[in-house]
Amino acid sequence: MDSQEALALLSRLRSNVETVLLGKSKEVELALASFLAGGHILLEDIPGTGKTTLARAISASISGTFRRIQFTSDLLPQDVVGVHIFDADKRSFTFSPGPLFANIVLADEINRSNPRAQSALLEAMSERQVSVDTKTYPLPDPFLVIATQNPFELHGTYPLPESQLDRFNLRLRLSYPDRESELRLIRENTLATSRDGLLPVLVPEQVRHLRALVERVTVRDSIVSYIYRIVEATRRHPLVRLGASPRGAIGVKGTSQGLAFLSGRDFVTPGDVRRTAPAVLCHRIFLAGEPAGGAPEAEAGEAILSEILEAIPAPV
Amino acid sequence: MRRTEERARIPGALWFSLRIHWAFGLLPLAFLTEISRPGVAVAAAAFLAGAVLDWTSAPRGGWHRAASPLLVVGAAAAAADLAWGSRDLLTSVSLLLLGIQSIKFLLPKSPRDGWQLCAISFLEFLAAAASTTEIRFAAFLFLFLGLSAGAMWALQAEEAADTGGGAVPRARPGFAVLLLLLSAVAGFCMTAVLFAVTPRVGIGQFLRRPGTRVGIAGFSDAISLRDVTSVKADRRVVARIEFPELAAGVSPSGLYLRGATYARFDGTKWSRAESPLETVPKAGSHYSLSPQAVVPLSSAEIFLEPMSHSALFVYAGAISVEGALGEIRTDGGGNYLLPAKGSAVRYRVRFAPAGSARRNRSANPDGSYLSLPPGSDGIRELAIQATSRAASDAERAELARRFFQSGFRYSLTDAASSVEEFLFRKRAGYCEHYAAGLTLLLRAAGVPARVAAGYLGGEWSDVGKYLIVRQSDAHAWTEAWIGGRWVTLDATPPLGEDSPFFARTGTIGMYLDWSRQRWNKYVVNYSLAMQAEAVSGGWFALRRATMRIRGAIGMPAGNLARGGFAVGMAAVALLLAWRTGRSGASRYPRGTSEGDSPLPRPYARLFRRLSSAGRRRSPGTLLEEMLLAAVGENPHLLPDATRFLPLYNRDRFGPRPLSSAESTEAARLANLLRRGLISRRSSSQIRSTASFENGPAIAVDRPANGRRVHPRRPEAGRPKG
Repeated sequence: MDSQEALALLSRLRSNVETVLLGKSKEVELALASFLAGGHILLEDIPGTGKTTLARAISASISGTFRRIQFTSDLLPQDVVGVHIFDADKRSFTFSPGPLFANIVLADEINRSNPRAQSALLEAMSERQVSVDTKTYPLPDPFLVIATQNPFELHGTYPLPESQLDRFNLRLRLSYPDRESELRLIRENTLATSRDGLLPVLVPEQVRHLRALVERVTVRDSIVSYIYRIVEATRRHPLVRLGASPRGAIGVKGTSQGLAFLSGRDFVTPGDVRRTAPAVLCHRIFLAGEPAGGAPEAEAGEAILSEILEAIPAPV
Repeated sequence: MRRTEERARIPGALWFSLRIHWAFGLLPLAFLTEISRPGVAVAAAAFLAGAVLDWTSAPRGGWHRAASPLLVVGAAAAAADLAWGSRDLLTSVSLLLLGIQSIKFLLPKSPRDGWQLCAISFLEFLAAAASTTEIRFAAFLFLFLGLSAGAMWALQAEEAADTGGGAVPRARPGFAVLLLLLSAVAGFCMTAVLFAVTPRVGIGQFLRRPGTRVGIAGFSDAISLRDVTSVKADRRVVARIEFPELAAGVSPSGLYLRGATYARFDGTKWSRAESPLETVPKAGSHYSLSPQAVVPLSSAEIFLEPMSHSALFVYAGAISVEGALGEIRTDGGGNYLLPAKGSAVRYRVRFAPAGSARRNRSANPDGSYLSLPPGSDGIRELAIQATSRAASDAERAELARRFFQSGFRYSLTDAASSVEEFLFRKRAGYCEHYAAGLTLLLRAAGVPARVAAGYLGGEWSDVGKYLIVRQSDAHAWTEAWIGGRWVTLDATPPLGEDSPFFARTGTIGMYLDWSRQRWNKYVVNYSLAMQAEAVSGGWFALRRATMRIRGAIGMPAGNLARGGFAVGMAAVALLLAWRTGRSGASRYPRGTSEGDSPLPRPYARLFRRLSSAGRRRSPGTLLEEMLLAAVGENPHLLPDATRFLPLYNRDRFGPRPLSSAESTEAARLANLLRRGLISRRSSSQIRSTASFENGPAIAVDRPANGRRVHPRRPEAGRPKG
């Protein structure tokens, strides 16, 4: 598969997703870039803005396995990861895989579950394997977690801890669609039907191939140092309690590569970095004196990041 | 300009300082020069109206149509003034300037008008500076400079608001202090260098209209007895005199500063001798008044205020005058006339102090110094009576002078109305009576004599070590030809502090006068010679200091000094290192990426062009964003920009270098775009108003944060809501 073919595939994937999620091409583009970079996605906004639709559209476009886990406060780690059960016939314990064993996992309302169940995802998301009792089971490749949460309703929720948030490559905030798109939505009311009618355009093998191609996208030294300076600035900012992690820096680079690839380029420009940095870094910086996880913190984080992006001289 | 939003964004102090800065050029013009008063009044009215309109953010969208007709009216007024009014180019040009300023006050369109108004007020300042010698100007200048900082800040903020660049820049006090300190040091060094290398000529010589002339009256061609009373109550300063050779702690006294001599007396009035005027011989700026060189000489640096007459004041026994004074003429009888009246002058007089020995080589004065008015037999008898015992002219003069010390009294109010009355009947008068009486008495006794007028003494300023001569120091005395020279004889009884006109200046007044004297000396009447003196003096001081330091270091017992010097240097180095280290640890790393290849020239020029057009909102702005924003206003450049950007991106960030054809194409496109952006200025104005009338303007997406930026449009025309 050369890059021409890859681009054709990607444009089909993109149009596939955009048919069900109207007027959100920027967010779709970022989500696909993260998908190409192998980064998990956290979708965050009020209910009814299409978070689940986006997750399902991406998964439906790939002919891999798809599982959905509805996170509730009584969810247990075993319900997510799987459990050893005693096989009476073989007189031994056999592993019964949980819903995590799939190519794409949709973790719906992730902040509704207790921290135990949330942290069951930790190993899976970073090492792409799960350990149950004494055994370790590898997860399928590609493996992608798409989680959704509603930050505005904090009652009865468990905000994601820093370590968990850091595992997500990207946090996207889907706001209300613009006027035209919403009018179209109301008029056509295709929400229920269209996403079921999506045809897969990619097989898992092709996804692995695309990822290899994305990794080969050139990132010049000036861009690397630009990313470093942005990440460094989040750590020095006086209002920030905890700055972005090295994983965040790697995430910016990978997602920028994905974005460049989606735009048909084989190199990353500073513009790619400027577009990805807010989505990749905002949920990784924690402000001093703000309650964690709330919508105000997210907005303040975005303001700080845009200030940093304005202040750091971009390479020309 | 953006009225409501601007007021919300810019702090009130900045808003006011900008407005005051705009109007500040009018103050010196109004107070210090004689520029057309109606013009200044119109500009002031326009300023007030504009400020009120700005403050109330009244809409004046349609008013801009009036700008061009108003400009034509202003130009016509200026032309009419040139043709029929003042007939002076400077006045007409300043009228035109005032007209443009008024229009801009009333109908500002964009922040560029703000900059232009600042520039206009600066030009007005220059015009005032060129035509004033007032110390008040310095106060205006200081205020103006202080306001400038606030005004620049306000303009920057306005521009930022206009380009959508966000809020007012936050002030960083530490940075500001550092900047001020550095600029002060740099400014001082630059001033010193400029001072040393730039040739200077006193501004006083260029003093022409429309500067105000503070004329000081007196010393006309003739004086009568009544002339002095009006003058005695006048406290205005006539001259300030420094005595460079005077020992410290000594103040000069009893010095007669002579402005005129009068030889002819017709019974009521003294007038000058009618001899033809000759030019005083000069070599460079050195005028020789009297050929003899006599030792020892004293010298006096005289700063004369502008006078309404052209007399040059010298001390009795003046040998030479130095200064750039033009052509000096003399009647040969002690009167020296400057070529022009009404300007402040500075010169140095060398004179022989009274009582010093002089060799006599001048010819005796002619008979006019012995003539008496008809019917002066009483005076002759009086002269014989008073001086019969004397054997020589000197003794005769002394006896004549003593004659006035008994039986006569000094009175301004109850003075005699004629010399005869003074001598024979009333015996009461003031300096002019005494001077005239003594002169006539000497002439009757056969000693050539004349009346001299000028100033006696003055107030010594201990603050600045100079003599303040006021109009109230005016005096008249007698000069007699004794022993081959004119000797000063003063019959008036010395009054000193008993004089009704004696008034001591207060400390504050002294300091004020001192600052004025410095202003006159170092600003208004500064000359090349003084500059050379100062530079050589500074140079010698520097060399002396160097020698002293070298001596201290080179001393055998100077280990302590050497150690101290080393410690001091190390401390300075450490301080510098600490400073740089701290500035390196700023919140954001500086510079673009390290180890990055430098920006090729065509790109760099395009980048600079976009930056100077205000497209670089912040350091983080990409060339791509700047170009797209600029192209949003110039859609005809769009095809070039869309071809240029991929090439540029690939060249700067791509894996492989461009082929030579591609890089030529990229450079060509970059130059094309740059030129297109330069020539856009005039056309963009027209098009932007058009885009307003046609509906929504082009919006340019900024991809990084998804914000939308509208291209700049004149805000006055923007509909509300």
